[in-house]
Amino acid sequence: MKKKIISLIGCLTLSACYMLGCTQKNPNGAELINGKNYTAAAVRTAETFHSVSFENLGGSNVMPLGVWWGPYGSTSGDTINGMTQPNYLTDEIFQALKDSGVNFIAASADQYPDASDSITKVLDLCEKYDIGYFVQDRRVKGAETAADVISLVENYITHPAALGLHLADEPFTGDIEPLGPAYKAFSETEYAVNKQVYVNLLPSYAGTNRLGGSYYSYLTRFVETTNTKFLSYDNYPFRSQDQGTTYSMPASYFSDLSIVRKVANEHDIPFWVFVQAGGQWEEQRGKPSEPLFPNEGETMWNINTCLAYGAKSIQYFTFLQPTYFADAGGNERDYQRNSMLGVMGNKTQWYYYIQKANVQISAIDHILMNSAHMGVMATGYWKDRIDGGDKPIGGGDRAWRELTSFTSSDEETGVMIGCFDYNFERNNSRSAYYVVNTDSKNKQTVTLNFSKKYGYDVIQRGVSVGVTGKSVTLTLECGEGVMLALR
Amino acid sequence: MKNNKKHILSMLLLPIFAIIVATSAFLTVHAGISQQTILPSTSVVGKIDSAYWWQPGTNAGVSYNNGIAFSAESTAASRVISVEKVENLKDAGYTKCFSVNIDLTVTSVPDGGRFGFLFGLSRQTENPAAEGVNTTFIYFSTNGNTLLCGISNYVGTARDEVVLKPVTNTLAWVSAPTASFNLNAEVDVDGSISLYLIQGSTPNQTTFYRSSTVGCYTAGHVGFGQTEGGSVVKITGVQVDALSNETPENTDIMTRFENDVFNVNELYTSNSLYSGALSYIRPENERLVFKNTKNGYLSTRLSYSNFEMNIGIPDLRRTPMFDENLRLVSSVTTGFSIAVGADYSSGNLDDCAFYVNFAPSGTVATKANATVITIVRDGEEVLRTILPEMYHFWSESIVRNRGTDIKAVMSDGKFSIYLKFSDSLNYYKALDYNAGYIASGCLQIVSRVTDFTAGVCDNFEIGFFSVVNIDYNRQIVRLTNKDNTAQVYDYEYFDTWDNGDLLFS
Repeated sequence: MKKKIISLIGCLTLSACYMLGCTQKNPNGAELINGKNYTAAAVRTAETFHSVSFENLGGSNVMPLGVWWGPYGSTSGDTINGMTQPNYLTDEIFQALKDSGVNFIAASADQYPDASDSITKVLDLCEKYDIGYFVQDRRVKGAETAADVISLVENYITHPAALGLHLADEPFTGDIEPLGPAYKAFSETEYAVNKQVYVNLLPSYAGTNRLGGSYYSYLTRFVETTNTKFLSYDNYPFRSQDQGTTYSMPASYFSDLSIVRKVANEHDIPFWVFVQAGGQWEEQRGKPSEPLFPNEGETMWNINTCLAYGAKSIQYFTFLQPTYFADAGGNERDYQRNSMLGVMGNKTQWYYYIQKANVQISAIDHILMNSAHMGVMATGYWKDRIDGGDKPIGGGDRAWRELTSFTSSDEETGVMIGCFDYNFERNNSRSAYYVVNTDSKNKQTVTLNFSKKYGYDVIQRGVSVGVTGKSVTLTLECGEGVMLALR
Repeated sequence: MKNNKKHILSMLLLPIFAIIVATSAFLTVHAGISQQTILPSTSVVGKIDSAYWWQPGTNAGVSYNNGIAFSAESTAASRVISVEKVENLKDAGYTKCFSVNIDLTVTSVPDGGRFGFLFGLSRQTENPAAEGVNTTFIYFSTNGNTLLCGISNYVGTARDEVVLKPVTNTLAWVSAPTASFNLNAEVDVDGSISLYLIQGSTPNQTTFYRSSTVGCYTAGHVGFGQTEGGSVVKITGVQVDALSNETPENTDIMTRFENDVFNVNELYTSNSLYSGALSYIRPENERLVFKNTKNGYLSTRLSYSNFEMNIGIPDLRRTPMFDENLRLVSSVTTGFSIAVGADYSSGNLDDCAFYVNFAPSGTVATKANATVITIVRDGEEVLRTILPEMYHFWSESIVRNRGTDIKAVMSDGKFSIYLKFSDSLNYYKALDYNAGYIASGCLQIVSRVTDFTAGVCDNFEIGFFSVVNIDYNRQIVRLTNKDNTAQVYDYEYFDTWDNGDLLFS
């Protein structure tokens, strides 16, 4: 509903602008759509795509946007200097969560049944704010039959806000096998129709000892053992200020995206990914804060490159700051150095970055959730540094389907374009392109050239504009992403 | 109106606090002095401990194997020197400077050479055998099978020798000159010295030398060295103890937790949360509230040596609370401690020099029969007293809504606790404890509950807290004010993105 209102406002604004004689062409000759002043793009038979959506989050057009460490009632950690961890189970905290654009909670400190009262309260607040919640219940790991599962979860699983069960986080290779029976048992319950089992997986930099071999084999082992409905993982690329820039990203970031995408495609499931809200977590515990990272451009870069790679859910690590994440040593606590909300409930810079990013995601997720991801094109620095297997089918480095070429103002840094086959109605599809400025420090202009004067829905910063032209020039902020969907 | 009252109260209290500070300045405590081991006996066990000993990079002819051995290859520059310096605390009113206890065997000293224990060295890297290094030398020389000993000062660039004790045959004290013997000396702040040489099971216990007028050097590094190379000597035991002047820099503190804040540059609180109850330590209604705490504390941020600390406890839970199912929700306050010589970042009472525990007698969480004060040091209870019934401040009927004021005083290692109720002017002296030394460190009020039964916890409030430094020549620093609440704020985000970037904007 919100999405429709945003689009409507955008269209009304632009229509009014058009009638009042505002600028009608952008530098490369694109103009606003006016009736049928464009060539309709070819309608294809849609490629198969895979998404997991939830009716209580808005259905198949809404991307799940999650957080780690949502509001909880269990106490943990310590507090210093008379500062007391506030009650998180309040309307104020849930309103902040809602306002950030997030729509589900992947994990918190509350475990069922120890924190059953707290979880019940969280579920009620989630329902009030249209937020989904995966209930953590480690007991279910021991379930072998559907009856076992039902007996354990029946008190909470049917709650309207419950998305399913959170079973484990970052299992090592040896932990995967024991998860199989629980997954199977859950799939045999009636809850499996619209509830999911949630497990988040390790990144490749966890090392071969934990992975039990290659990253591909680790992921494959998990998927084939559990028959999971989605593949969630994390890879946090920024380790210090100014290190995680365009030019010093760890190699595993894109290779993990490629491998996860590959495994997900091989098993006909979508993949979900985590984005870091700050840094300086366990490794910085008890140590003074370093300069904060990532910055806004890097956060956008992180989110939008994942979307360009076809992620079907973005999750943020973390929403609430665990108390030990604030431990800056001695009598110092830094409630600003990571997470969306500090321990005391204060909003950090990442709260605002993520809120901003989520406005864009919620305006384009109907496309992303209903598209088959066909690959990415990258130019400049990243061209030779991403996995070749992710390049689009056919075309070349700078061409796919109707898009014949593109250029950017800084060719050395370049851009990345995710290519999507958008199933806009009843298995009919058209092409869509998600253009990302992979420069996290500087703005760029990107010119897209098409084979004909097509019509496009250009969605940037949550605002949708209908334009036409053989070329469209976009201006993108650091790390920003813009969706361009052919009509 | 409340604020006005607060201001009036503060105005009234400030002069009182000023009087405490002013009075403290006239106290004649020696303050800040504690026993310090310059060289412990363990420092020569196994390999030499570099935390205590310095030696030159090339220390010819010196080796270490459960002792320090000088060999015939040693040179006039061979030496081992203490890292720490002895201080002369004459100005602080003390007479004793340091004592030394050495086990050694002098096998041979080259003709014309002297080997011995030196002190008063101003820098550890200086060579006491070189010119311009002012030291006192308790030295040994040999003449055939005769072991000789003397004491001299070496003065100035020419190493002018001032003989304090002429070189003397030690036979009356060391009957077996090539066997191990013990050197024991005490040096006072005016440079007088008492020297004992001890050997055998029935040693000569008369002093080898005693002088109350001779001026040895006193302050400085100590160690072993020689005037010529080639001495063959092994030192198998060393212990040097001195008084140390510990006058930590700190500030006088006085807070009534006005406006529900405190200065984090002065004070620190930490509270470990636990599941089962809302637990915190925070200022509320101008009191520092310990709410359902099991493991939390208030600490000074800086160290104190001699001090007077005042704590006002307007309330503590003396009656247990139960829920509708008669389950214990909150016990009577199980006790709290004053920790002395602590580290502000640790609330573990085992880490402090000693602590005073205030607790109800018995282990029943629902009833306090008496108020007991104990002193615990190194994990052992060293003093215990049961307060007279009239000061049993865990009893509701005795307290009658009055606050309990506790005063703790440390003066030259002597520690005392005083008590009174808030409507009284006079303190009752609850106990004296001679700690024997000054336990310099942070001061803490600690709630530590080792009973993890649900509902067993501490609930009490601190209405005022003050610490006055009563060190001789106290070192006061000015601390800026930083509210404990200053660490929390919403990030101020300014969106720098330009909407002109949008197509057809």
